[in-house]
Amino acid sequence: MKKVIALILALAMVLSISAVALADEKPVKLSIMKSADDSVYDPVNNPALAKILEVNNIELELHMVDDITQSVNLAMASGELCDIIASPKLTVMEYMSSGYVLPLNDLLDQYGQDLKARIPEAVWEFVTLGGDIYAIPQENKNYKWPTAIRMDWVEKLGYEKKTEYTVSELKQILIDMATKDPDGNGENDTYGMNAYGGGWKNTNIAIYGAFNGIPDQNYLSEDGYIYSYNTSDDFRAALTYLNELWTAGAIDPEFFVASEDQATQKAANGKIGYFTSWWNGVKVLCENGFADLNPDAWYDVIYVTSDDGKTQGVLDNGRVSNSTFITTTCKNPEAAMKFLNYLATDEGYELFQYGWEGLHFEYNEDGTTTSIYQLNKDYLPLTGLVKWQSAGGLAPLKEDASRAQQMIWPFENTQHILGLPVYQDLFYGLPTTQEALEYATEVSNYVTSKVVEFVTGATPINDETWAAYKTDWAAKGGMKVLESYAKQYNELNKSEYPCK
Amino acid sequence: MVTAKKKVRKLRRVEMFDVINLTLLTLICLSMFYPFLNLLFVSISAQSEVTAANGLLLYPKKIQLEAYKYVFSYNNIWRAYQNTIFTTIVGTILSLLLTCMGGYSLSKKGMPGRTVMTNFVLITMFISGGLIPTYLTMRDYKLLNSLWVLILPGCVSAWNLFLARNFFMGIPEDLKEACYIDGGNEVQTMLRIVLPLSMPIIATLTLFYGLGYWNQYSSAIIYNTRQEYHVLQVVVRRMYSSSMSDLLTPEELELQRTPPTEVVRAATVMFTTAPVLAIYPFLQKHFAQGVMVGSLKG
Repeated sequence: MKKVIALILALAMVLSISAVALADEKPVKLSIMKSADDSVYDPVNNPALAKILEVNNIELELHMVDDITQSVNLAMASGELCDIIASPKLTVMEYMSSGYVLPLNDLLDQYGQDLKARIPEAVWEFVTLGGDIYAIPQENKNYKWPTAIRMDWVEKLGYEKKTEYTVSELKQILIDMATKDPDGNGENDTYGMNAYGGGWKNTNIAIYGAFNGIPDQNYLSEDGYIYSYNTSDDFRAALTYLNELWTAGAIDPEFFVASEDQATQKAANGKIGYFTSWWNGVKVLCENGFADLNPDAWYDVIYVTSDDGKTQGVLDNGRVSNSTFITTTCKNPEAAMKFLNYLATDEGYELFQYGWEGLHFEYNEDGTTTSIYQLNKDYLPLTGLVKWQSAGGLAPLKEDASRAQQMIWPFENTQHILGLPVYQDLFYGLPTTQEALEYATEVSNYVTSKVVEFVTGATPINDETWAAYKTDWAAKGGMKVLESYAKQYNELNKSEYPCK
Repeated sequence: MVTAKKKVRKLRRVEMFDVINLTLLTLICLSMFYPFLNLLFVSISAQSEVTAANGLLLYPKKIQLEAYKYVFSYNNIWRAYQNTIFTTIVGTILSLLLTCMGGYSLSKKGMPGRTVMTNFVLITMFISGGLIPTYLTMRDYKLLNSLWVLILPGCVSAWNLFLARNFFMGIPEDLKEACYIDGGNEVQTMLRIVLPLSMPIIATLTLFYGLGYWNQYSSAIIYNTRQEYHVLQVVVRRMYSSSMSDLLTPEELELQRTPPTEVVRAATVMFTTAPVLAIYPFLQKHFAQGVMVGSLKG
């Protein structure tokens, strides 16, 4: 009898040890929610993905959503969230009151050494509140708006080929582009600029920058008050400048009414000479046939300054592109943090960012990479989880690059212009206020309508009309929005700057 | 002689009228048909040709199928197509079945509680549960991330139910009574008398439901977040608007696909509408009649 009991106990011990061992070997299930892209999650056919899962001993359930804000809100309402969520920009700060965002300090100290080493301390500040770090910020490249000019036209019109032009020089060039038939077809069908690049705000970013700011941003003046660029004298000067261009015919009359496709078609047909756009602006034109239709055309990167050469800058895209957070419903936050940290190691970064060497990419001599996989098979489903700006680098220009590729390359290789000034909104990173939710849309629509009137000359720009504009802007809620953000800013920074 | 001359003049007027009439109608038809034709031409042309023509082509100068190759090889497109075909076929059959049964029941004048039930259905046309309560309901029924969440919640449309009800009310009672006299019950009456006479409304409902399931997008993005349950419109929309993202550096974008041009977008539209265009002619005969008849009765 005693022998039987001993045998049973021994068997029970062996079975329990086996169960523990098996439990340790079982992969941890993690669910991730991120914005949808073109990629496909296929660990069976993607050795890079399979290796990531194997090294971290995890099974991933990937949720790709088109409207991440809506999806996160719905998930929070239902109480069932994914373990890891990559939310856009700094929206994580708006989720903190929900109780679903896990503070990461301890996890980062124990398992996040590579993440802490890669991402600069200043960037971590954006996701820190009261000393607690709530997300892993993805460092963004803050200069992404190069300015392009048809340098073949500039030279044909007799101007000096430079990389920097003052606003006065630029004005004359743009007017001549519209009036002196630079394409030589005998027709008066060219313009200095049209809406290609993103309409009145984005196409003219470099011009606004030369007039000391960017529309919709807010700044702290040297006198110690907070103001909106939209009601500043600098903005008035910029609009006056644009009105002069409009009156001289340098701006396409369809500037304010053309659709994005129409503007792109006109630009691709070679009818405009200047724009500021997202860094792939010239590439998009070439894909729409620009290089084929205009074989002698050439766009160069330029910079625009004030006449005294002291003021220039473009739009800052913000230091944080995404913020990845771990939710409080995650059953294994340690595994989640280890996985995210692995993506910041050399091995992990190569696998999730580039794929499998020899199959998806190959290294160039200078350490940059060239994709060798078919373009239509997107194999990077984990893009957007972690990122820092010192990683990677654009592949060098090939010797046999086409004319179009040679033209495009400087615009994509924004590394060489990272040192230029950018204008950053004073309130960057602050949660949206109730006043902004209530009034921002109407204020924005009002500003747009007044810009159209001022630039086209429907309403002349003088002291009286400008004062009326500012009064109406405040009445429609502009000042309420400004004051609500200023209050948050002052509370956070323990300051007392008034608004003006 | 006079009569013959009058006849000739009258004939000439009639012929002139026909010519003018036909010409005008042809022009109107062309103006409606041309946008679609232009879309087809754009989808099989080179982008530079489309740009040079400012997006309007009378004919494609050189046929290229690169855009279709891109669309056909897009990630997840065929899985999405498969999901859409499944939800459309299963959903349409289920919806037709339940709508016809519901419409027939509500069309019976002597049915107890008919007015209450009709009003109850009517209320749902104006008031819905809202996004979050509906989402929570789907979660509780374990329907999230499945194809059934795209079929079951919207299986019976109140509007279509009323269309069916009104149509069935228009079928003469005598025909139904003849069936009762012959010993038939309600189910047999519906199957043997009512439904065979209801091809117009069935064709109409097939089209309405079929298109509804085929074009599903908002429900698909709300309830299905996993790729294996994505439907065609979701993937197409993603293809349509891909890559203009400030999340990506040039190095990252180098590794991903380029922005879709106008040619690709045209091919995308053709790809999604081709099946609908193929089926519509078969239903058209019944459709026009069904829409009018179903809508007139109170």
